Amino acid sequence: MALLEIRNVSRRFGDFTAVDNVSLSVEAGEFFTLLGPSGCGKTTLLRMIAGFDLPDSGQILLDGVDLVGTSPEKRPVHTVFQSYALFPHMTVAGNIAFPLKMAGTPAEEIKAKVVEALNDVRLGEFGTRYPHELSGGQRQRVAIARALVTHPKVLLLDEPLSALDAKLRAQMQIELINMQKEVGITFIYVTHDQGEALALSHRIAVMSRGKVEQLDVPHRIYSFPKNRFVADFIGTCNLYDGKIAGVEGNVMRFDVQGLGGVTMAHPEGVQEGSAGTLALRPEKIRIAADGTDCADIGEGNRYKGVVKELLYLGDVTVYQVEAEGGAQVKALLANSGAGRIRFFEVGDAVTVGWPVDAGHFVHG
Amino acid sequence: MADAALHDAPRNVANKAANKSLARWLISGPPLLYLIVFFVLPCLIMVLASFRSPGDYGGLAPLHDADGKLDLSWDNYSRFFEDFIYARVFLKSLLYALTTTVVCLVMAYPLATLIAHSSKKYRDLLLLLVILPFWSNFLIRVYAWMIILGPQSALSRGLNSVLGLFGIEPVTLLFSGFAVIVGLVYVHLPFMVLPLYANLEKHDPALLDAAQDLGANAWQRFWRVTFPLSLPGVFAGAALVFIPALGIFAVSDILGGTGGIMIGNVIKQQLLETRDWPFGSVLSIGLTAAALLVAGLAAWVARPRRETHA
Repeated sequence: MALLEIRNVSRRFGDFTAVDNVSLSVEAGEFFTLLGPSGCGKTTLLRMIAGFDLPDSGQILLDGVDLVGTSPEKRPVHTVFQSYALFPHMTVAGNIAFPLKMAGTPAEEIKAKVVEALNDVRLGEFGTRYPHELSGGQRQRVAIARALVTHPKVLLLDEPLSALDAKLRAQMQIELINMQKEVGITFIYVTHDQGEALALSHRIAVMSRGKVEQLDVPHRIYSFPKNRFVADFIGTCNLYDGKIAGVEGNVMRFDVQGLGGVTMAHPEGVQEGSAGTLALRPEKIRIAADGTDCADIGEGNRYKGVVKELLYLGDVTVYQVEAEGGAQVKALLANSGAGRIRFFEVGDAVTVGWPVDAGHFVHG
Repeated sequence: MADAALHDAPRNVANKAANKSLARWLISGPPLLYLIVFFVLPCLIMVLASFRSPGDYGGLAPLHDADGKLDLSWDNYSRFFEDFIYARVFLKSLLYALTTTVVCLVMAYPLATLIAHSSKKYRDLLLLLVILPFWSNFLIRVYAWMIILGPQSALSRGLNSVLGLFGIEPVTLLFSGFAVIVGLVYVHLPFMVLPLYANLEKHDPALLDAAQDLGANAWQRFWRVTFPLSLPGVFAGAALVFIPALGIFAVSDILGGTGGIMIGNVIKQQLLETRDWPFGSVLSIGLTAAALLVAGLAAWVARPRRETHA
């Protein structure tokens, strides 16, 4: 049995349906992420698990027991808030001691547990400081230590890293992974940052407009998006609407306006003539100077085009190539050549190409 | 040219700094002067007067007596400490002011919470209602309580008929310490509500969510989060209520009768009726000292402390 089970949960605010008949289950010890743009219902779902909001219909079961009717202070579920919500009038130690005090833990035990929790988040020396005397990353660690000190069954994290700068965020991501592994507590993590979700999670539920669009492990979410929304939301993706023109065994021809016929893998159960979208990741596309061939793509697809724009990002460059038919192709190239700044300039005539198995067919 | 500009740069900076400090003095000078002339100097005059003798027909006796000796003594202070009656009025005034402060706090806290939590639309209306009494005359508002608490009022008669059912003697509400405190609370309540509201309105609601999430029930959330965070507002409100309530004489004059006299009444009496300025000055100094003492005590109680466990 799953640790947390969400069954047909809906939540409406007036005419707006924030969470629309969502069902999912989270296993014990899992790092589970709710990912989606703002307004997709992920935070509402999190607040319902914490108990700050109640579903209009459906059940939220923890260890098989419905949580609806249990007030937030009695749920064995703690939250790390986006703003950290540290108590400004208490020291770091006081903040961490708070949930222990509320649970009626004896004073001696509190002292020992607070010291242990402080050491766990490498803030051993900071017990007597006040929150305003800490840096953003330190506050973040106090918030996590405070939420974990009573060993809740589930830890909810509401965009906890969004206030940190990029470097610190990357460092905290690694710390979160290690911390979760160490304590073995189930983490339910809410974020709109797809990179963060891919890096941290065991499983991801991609949400949009109150519904779960896809629930899977990170690499499958990235490589095999279930629909156009997921393909577009996760990472960068070339998306081409078209129609299946012909099927030959496990390969099919997919007609795209402005590009022509694309040879790609034929997904099971999809009929010839049906419409769909070709999702193609920029890093799977090769570019070669006009007149030379794209290496190692074999029987794959090749199109002539001109570099229209480029985005130099240091480690990689993103080239936007306009194919002869008018379609735009985004391709990503690592700037790995010795002494090379980048391979092509705007206006260069090039050939773009990709292997048969690079593209992924998604419905509508 | 470029050199000249470079040499000018530090001078410009210096000029700017001079201009800035001049501007500062121009802005803060007039109010400072006002305070010196109309507050600090009168205080010093009062301190000096407290050591002098009263004049035969009020005011002050000449600074030098007939023999040309300086007429300064501690006599007025000895009189204050010799007659227990003044200390008693002082203590009673302190008690009235403290009671008023506590009652105001207890009444204002829920009201300020309600206002802080109401939607923007009603918030302004409620705040307006709080300050609305200021739009009518203070004395009229206090006189109104004379009628409300008077023996013929519906309140008095209703209360006494209920007491009569239990065989309790009728009580008089007006002209008592009770009436004074009712009046003091009524007059000072807005001064407690406004700073409390200003404080509570700034609280981050996420803190209460966090407290609840971490296992605190409504009672614990109030005493461990809301109340400690509201202490600056509590102390601001308490100071705004306690200090004026301690020195006031109009309310006790109208509602207190002979038994409800406060130190303000005695000071007024000494200065305006008995015309004993020196002794009135001694009492005034005592009042200021008492207010400072209580405020200092409160500040000491509320001093920031660093605890390992909050």
